Amino acid sequence: MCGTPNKMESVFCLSCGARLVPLTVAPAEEKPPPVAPPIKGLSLPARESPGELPAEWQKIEPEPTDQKKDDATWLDQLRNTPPEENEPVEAEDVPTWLKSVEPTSDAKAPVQEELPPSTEIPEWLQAIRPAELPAEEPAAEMVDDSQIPDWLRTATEEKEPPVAQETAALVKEPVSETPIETESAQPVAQEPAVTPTTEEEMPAWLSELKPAQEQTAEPVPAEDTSSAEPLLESLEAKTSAKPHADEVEQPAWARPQPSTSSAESDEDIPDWLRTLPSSNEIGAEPSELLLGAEAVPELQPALPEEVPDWLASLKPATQLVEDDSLEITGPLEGLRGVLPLALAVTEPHPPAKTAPAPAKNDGGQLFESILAAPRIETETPAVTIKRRTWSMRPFVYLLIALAALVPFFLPSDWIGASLPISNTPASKFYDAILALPVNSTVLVSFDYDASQSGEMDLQANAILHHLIQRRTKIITISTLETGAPIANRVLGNVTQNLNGYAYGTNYVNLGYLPGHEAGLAQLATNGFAPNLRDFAGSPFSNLTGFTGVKTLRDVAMIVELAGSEDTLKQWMEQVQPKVPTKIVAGVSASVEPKARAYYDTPSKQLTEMVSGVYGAAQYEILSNQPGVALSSINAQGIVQLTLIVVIVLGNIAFFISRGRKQNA
Amino acid sequence: MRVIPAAIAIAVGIVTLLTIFFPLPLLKDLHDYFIESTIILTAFALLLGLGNLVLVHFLRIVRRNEPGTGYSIIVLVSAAIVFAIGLIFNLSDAPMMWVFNNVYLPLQSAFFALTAFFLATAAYRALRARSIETLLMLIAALIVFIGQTPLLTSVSNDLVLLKDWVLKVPSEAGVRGILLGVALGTIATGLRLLAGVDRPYSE
Repeated sequence: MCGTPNKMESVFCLSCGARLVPLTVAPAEEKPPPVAPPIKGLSLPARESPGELPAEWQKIEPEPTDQKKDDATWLDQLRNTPPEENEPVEAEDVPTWLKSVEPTSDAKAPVQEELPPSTEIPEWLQAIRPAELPAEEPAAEMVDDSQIPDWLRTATEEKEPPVAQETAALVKEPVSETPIETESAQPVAQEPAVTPTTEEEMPAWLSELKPAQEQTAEPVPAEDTSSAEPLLESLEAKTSAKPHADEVEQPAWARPQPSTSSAESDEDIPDWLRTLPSSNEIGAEPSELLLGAEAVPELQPALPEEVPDWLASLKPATQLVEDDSLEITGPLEGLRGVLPLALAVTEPHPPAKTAPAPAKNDGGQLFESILAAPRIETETPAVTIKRRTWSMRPFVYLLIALAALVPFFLPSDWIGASLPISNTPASKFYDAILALPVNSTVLVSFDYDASQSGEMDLQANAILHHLIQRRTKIITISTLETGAPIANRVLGNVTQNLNGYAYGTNYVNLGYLPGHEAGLAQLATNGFAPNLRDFAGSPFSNLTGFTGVKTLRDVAMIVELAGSEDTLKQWMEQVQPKVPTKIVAGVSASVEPKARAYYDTPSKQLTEMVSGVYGAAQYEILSNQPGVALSSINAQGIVQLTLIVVIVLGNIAFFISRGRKQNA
Repeated sequence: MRVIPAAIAIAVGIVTLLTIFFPLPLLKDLHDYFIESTIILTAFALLLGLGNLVLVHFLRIVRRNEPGTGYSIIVLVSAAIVFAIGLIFNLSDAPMMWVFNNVYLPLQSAFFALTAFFLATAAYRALRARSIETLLMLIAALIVFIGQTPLLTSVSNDLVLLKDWVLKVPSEAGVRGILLGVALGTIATGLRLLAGVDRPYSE
């Protein structure tokens, strides 16, 4: 079982075809199948043209449903007939395969009943029905005696029951057979109604089936088989592998039932059996079938009610649709047998089989086609090996290092002796300090960081030395947080081993002045605060050497030691406009271009200026204090020369490389 | 609520500005008071910067997954040690000065000294005559270099005069232009602050 849900009425699975309804004998009283509502809309059968019905359907007339309910199938009637009316069939005579399908309850032999009048032919039967029933002609005239087999001939000589009754009797037995067994039933039906004469004539296979007890059933009187001879011949042709009936002795159950009268025997033959397909519709059918059909003019197509249920169950699922499912609306109006919309829609449909992948079907052909395709050359990225490029940076670093270190091992002032002294900014600065009155107070602002102390300390030492030589009072201050300890360090170095130059009397360190511009603005406006404390924490007002110094106007000169342009700018913007005191500056070499804007002015915002180690060295020479600046100028000079050489070499290399590129 | 900071900033700015033009006693007193308040806030800003530094490095240590966590530990330990020494001793005392003179000062000086090598390589790569502008800059740089080199200036004094001219005329002109532009921008920024257009304090 595939597990696909099916309708309740379905006998076979629509997807896999497995049987859903077990093989059981249908009860006598069977409910008629429900009437399917008329189909509207979609339906499966196709027509040649809309509005035109096939020829075989034109004769179909709608059948009232009520009539069908009342009518029972002729097979059911036969089945329900009491067994005493029929020849008793002993159990031992029944083959095992037939025993398994016999009804468990009322195992009655099929009863020959009158066939109900056929009102409607099922579609699947109509398909094999000829368009026009041939005229009733005696088929016996068309039968050639030479074509009749001997066994049949002998059988006809005897009193044989009608073939239709025989076949009907044979057909009645297997009530519920599988569709596959229809062919197997044919051999049963195909066995002619020949009375076996002796038991020795019975074939071995049939004798094995025959029980120990000899069946004493009377042979069924054979009916008139003259009209059934072609049918028998056709049936024989189909089962050529089966032993002929004349060679074996048929058991009693296989023997045809005797009929009371010929009229009754004719009526016992089902209409569907009387109807034979035409040669046009069934091309492979032998001509005997036509003869047989024509020889039995009284055969009528079986009505749907006459078709036994077990036989109707053999019909494919698509053909199990009720005949009264007539389209009454839509383009398929008048058509029968179309699938109901619900059936078509609600029935689970097997999954659509997708086309198999080309790879599966090609079996490698796809791969071969790819290989055979022209190769598309793609640019593969070339594998580049990164090589270490030669760089000038380490060479430049080495040169600078050697230029800075080697002069320290040379005589100290071999370059300093050639320094220009006169008419230099350093000399003007020196002269400005010389012009200070004795015991004047000078404010020195240490506005440079520890990173710039290597350059600015040289200027600070030289200037402070000169101020000390001039016996001026020195007040140090700083607008930077790290300026106060720097000032403390420089003062300690300068005033070391000085006699008569004490702290608090001759010099003081006021420490950090917070607020940057605001602090300078307040200093310039209000002077030193009354609660101002020095770097050690002592009140400035308590210092005896600076009791008269209250504001910046009380100082003779302001020396701004600027390591950056911001501090110099603050002093120039906040202090210089408000205080008439001279402001001189010792600046770093990087600040000199910006400091010149305040220096080279007619108003002389910046009175004098000393820049860098060069100016410190000049000042040391002027103040006759050779120090670190003078020894540092040697290294600075050589480093500057090295840089000039490096710049020139770099330009030469640039021009050479550019020339090569242009030539390339 | 957003109007109050703007109102305070505008009022203080206007009072300070008017004090320059109208040195009235009331305005002067207010001006002095505002200046002193600024100085106090600047001092507290140092403490705020220290707290932010400690917090940033502390969080980096707590996360553990960020690079440089070890350096953060060193920063916090060093700050704690110096802070403790400053609290225990005075700034002018020997321990504090020892830390400053033997730790902070040499490290700062050495770091600044490395810039000489970087400047040398930068001069080797940047000072190349790729165009007219770079050629002029190269020539000016070489003149200033040569004019400040004692070995070369001893040869001729004209190099010194040429150097002075370069520093005094073209260089000074550009510096003055920059200073004037900065001053005008400062005035415009001040006016925007006084007008309440820019509110950097309210963000």
